[in-house]
Amino acid sequence: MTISLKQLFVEFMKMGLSGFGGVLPFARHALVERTGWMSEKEFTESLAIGQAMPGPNIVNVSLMFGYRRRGLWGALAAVSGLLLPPMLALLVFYFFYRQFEHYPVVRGMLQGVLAVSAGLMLGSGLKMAKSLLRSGEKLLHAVILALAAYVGIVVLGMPLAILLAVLLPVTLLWAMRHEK
Amino acid sequence: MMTELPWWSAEYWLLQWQLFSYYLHISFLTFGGSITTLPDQYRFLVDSKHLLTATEFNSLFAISQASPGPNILYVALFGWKIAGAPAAFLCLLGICLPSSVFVLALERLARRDPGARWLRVIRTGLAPMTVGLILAAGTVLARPVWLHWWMIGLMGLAVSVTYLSKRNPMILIVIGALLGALMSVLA
Repeated sequence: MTISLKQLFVEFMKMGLSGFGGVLPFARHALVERTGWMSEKEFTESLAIGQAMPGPNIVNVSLMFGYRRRGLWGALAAVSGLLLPPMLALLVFYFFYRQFEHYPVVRGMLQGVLAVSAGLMLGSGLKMAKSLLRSGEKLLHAVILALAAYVGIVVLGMPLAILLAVLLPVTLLWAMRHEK
Repeated sequence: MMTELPWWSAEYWLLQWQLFSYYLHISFLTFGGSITTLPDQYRFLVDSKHLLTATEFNSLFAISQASPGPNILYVALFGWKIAGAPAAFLCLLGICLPSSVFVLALERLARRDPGARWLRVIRTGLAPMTVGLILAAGTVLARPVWLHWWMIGLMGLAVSVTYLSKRNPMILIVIGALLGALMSVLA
């Protein structure tokens, strides 16, 4: 099935504009269920790679998908559809917010959203930690690495670049000894 | 605080470059999603360069969460607030560009041998570090939460719902906004 650049742009724009609180569920629905452009397996694999690589997960998925179908221009069409229209929407949203920001109600709403965002982040971190703890043998290594990353940021306030310069080599060396 | 520098001054473009180059370098460090770099953005924009106040940082992030679109867009909002439209675009481009080039290059390589050992090493090896970074981002984001008991309750609710179910996060965001509005009326 050939997909035009315009179709790529429009489809990813729709995903971007409908995604509240993360685009991922909407992307899965659109790519796998609605258009059938991707199989469930292909989507899950792209996501796994997208998550392991640097860069926003969903941006990585759109890049890989666009690139597979239409090369470099396809990647560009998908990623700009995903990011640019929602960016304009966000700036418009922000413009309206500025008109009403002095109302305590608006500030209260933001505080509520912020509390939920913090909770969502901690919740998904804990969920990932749980599945990590189940994986067994490499347990001690995993706990040490996770703890080192956490302490480096929260307690020591280290710049991320310095923290990762130390942690990344250790992480990859440990992983290489386990993945034969 | 939107910069007062006129667009034709050298300082204005120096500021744009400072933001762009910061996000370029952070792009390589976004393992497990851009959210893991949130504490570092706080360190840079608020603590070190004083381009945003702590309150601004937190409300801009909350606004981006309440609006549709990929999570990464909060970066554009930071840029917009600090130095207008060019910065909004440059921050977003900066955080996406290096990682995108990297990912496309890897995609080319991976196509030759999808089961390669180095791919598995990256995929499984990075997980523990990512978990630590995400929990750290959550902790940093939670700093203003401890001020109000109702915010603590909301956060607790979001943590447990996320942990125990696969419910769409949007419902929680709506609950948070409604409860926040209610509490501000009662206060």
